[in-house]
This record gives sequence, structure tokens and C-alpha cells, in this order.
Amino acid sequence: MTSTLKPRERRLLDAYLELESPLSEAGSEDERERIVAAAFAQGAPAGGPVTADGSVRRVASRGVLVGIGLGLCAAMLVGWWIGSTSMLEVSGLERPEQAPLLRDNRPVREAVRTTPEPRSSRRPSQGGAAADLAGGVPSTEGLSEPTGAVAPQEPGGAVPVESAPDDEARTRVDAEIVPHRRGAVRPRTGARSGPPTSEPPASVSPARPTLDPAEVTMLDQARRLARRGEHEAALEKLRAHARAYPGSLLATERAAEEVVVLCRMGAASAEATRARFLAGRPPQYLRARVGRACTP
Amino acid sequence: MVAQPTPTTADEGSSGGSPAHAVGLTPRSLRRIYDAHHGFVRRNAVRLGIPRDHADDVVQEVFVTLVRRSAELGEFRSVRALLFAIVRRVCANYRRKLDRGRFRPLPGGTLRVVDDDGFDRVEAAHTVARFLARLDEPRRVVFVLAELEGMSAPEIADALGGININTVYTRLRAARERFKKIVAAGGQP
Repeated sequence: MTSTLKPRERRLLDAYLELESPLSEAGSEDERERIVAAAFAQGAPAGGPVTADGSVRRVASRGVLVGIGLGLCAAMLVGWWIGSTSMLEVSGLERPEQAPLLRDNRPVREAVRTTPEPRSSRRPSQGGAAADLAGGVPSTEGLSEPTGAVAPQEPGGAVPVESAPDDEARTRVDAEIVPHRRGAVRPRTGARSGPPTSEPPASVSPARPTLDPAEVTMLDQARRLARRGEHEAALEKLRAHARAYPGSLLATERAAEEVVVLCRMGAASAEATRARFLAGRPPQYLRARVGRACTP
Repeated sequence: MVAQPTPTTADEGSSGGSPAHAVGLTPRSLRRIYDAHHGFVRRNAVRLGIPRDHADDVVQEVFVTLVRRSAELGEFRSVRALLFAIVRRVCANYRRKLDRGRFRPLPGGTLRVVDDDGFDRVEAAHTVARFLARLDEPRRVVFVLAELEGMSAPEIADALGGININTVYTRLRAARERFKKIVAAGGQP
């Protein structure tokens, strides 16, 4: 659009743009990857009209969109079914009453440990494109409410199981905590000690990262409940999400939502939960969200 | 046309042209969009009243919304128009939470930069900031998109929810007239 401004007027605008220019500076590559990962973790569109080169396509016919959506849903359901079936077949585990939301930025299956995992075998989660799909965050522990049974997490992502706050609750579970680390998946056998092997188990690990439209929906439901002030219901929804999707790529956002809800409730565990969440170095946007909710 | 901020991997100054063949939104395509328009999103979020220390949050929300609603938002003339529509919505919600509706001027500059002819660039920038802060939002948005972002009237109409192009021109004309008066008055609104 041709401007009718005079050169002097244009000069003022140029000066303004120059002073504003730091806002246009691109963030770090890590920041970009974190945003892209979180966008897909939270966005989960049914279809994508935006093209690879950034231009926007015309909306396709409804029939094509419906077909694509159904195909995606079917593929996701098949993948989820295969994963869940394999988990049950191999482990024979009962689902814990309270599954941790996130541990070491990877899904964790609630377990009872008779011998602690050697510290040398623990490795904090590292960055990378795959980790960054979940925000690259060695983040929070699970619920710290009385019904929860999750060990607090050390900064850096390792899980000191021996400091689990509620061992009695954990005795109900008949499995073993398996911090999911890339390239070091613990075989699901009766053995409860020993270093993890580098050979993956024969079956599919339930700790595999997942991103299902239903996960997004459930997390949205929890958020809506929280916004309406139904905090208990929101917490229950978050717990259900953690049980249903232990490998969810939304785990970091789910953990942040838990902290937010606890703070709004004024729960006694809110501060400790918040501290543990922040110790995991979550993305800035989640730190800010938690900070706003937990401000006294 | 005002000098545009330096484009990154894509031409920020372009209106996007005709929509290309659809291949779906992928992480790769989103990265390219991010690289091309991250600055656009951030600076317009600040222009729309978001404090700088909250700009990261808004940028995050914008791209999450872009992915989530890419199928719902229909056809836009350009990615920038689509992004601005999202920025505007996200910023409005965000400002309500922050209870801050005012446009924030630029922070005070510590470096005075005066050109050889005596033109004080820092003061000039703050003049523009004060002008924008006092302009009503409908005109401010149009002025910013036209004069600072170089968007076309159809693009702006798209970005503002499909308003009439004549409305865009009307608001822009009014904003320009007011800006001219301020410049003529020596920068005092």
C-alpha cells in the first residue's frame, strides 16, 4: 500500500523501528525447538492447511478433510492400542492409583522398588529434537497430595526413589520404577535390581512418547475445570491424564497445570510442588504461568 | 514504504501470494514459519500492550494456537495476516489477565543518537511510541500494520477478521492525518 507520509514522517517511523528492532531478533535455536515442540504438543490440529513453505492453502473440500481426520484418528488409535496391549502383556502391571505426571521428562510407570536404582545408572534427560518435543524439560514429579505416591525429583532429572514420600501407597503397585531414558530401557522382568540394559525389551514400552488428540482434549478439560474453580475435579482429571497417557508429550504442560491448580487451591503441598517443578528447568512460558498462579 | 525489519528465512515483507499446494502443517513447516515470522509476532505483541517480559509467553501461545486452529481459521491471504489475527486475540486475552490495557511505550533509551542534521532518533522513536499509545486501537492496529509492517489493505482486512477494505483505508487515513499533525507540531501530541 503506497504511503502518503512525507520523508520526515517516515524518518520518525524508521527511528521507531530501529529502537524496536531487538524485539525482532530471533531467539535461540533451542527456544525455537521448544516452541515448535510445545505447539505440536498443545496444538494437535485435526488437519493442517498451512504448507511447508509457510503459505496458506485454500481450505480443502469437507470430504477430504473428514477422510484425513478419520485416517489420522484411526492410525493413532491403532498405535495406542498396540502400545497399551503390549504393556499389559509384558508387564502384567496394575495401574497405579496415582501415576506420576512426569519424571525426568519421560513417562514413568509407578512402581515399588525394593532396591534403589544405582545412581550411576541415572542420567538426566538431555536435549535434542525428540526430547524437545516434550519441551526438553527434566521436569516435575507427580502428585504430592496425600493420595499421590511419587518421589520428588532432583534437579537435573534423576529420581531419588529412596526419598519417596509415601512408600505405603507405593506398596500397592507391583512393578518397578523405570525412568525412561533414551537408549536405556529397563526390561520388564521380575528382577528389581541391576543396571538397566541397553537392549530394548521385546515389547513396546508404555513410556513411549504419545500425542493423541484425546490427550489434548483431556488436558483442556482439566484446564477448563480449573478456570471454573473446580480444582478438585481438575486435579482428578490431571491424574486420569497421567494414568491414561504416561508417555504423553503434554506431560510438562500437565505438570505445570497441576502446580497452578494446587496454588489456586492454597494446598499445603503447592509450594513444594512448585519448587520441584521449577527445579526441573521447565520452559520459560511455563515458569511464568506457574509464577503468576502461585504469587502470594 | 518504511524499511522493514530484516527478514529471516522467508520474506516477511511479502504478502504471501497465492496459497501453495497443501502438504499439512509439520514441525518442519512450523520451524520455517517461526523463523520467518517470530519477530513479527513478538514486536506486535509488545505493540499490542504486552510487557516485554511476557512476550515469550505470548509468542508461545500464538504458535500453539496456529497449530491448533490452523484448520479452523479458514483462508487468509498470507501467513502474516493469519498470525496477526491470532496475536490480536491472544494479546486481548492476555491483557485481561494482566489487567493492563494500555499500549506501553518504549523503555527510556540511555543512548542519545543524533544524526548529523540534528535529528534525534531516540526522541523520534519515543514520539512515535507516544502517538501510538494515544491512538485508539482500531486506528493504531491499521497504522502499525500498514506503516510499520508494510502490509497491504487486503492483508490488513484479513488480519482484522475480514473487515471491509474501505474501513481499513478510512482508519488508516485518519491515523496518518493525526500522525502528520503530531510531527508538524514537533512531536508533541
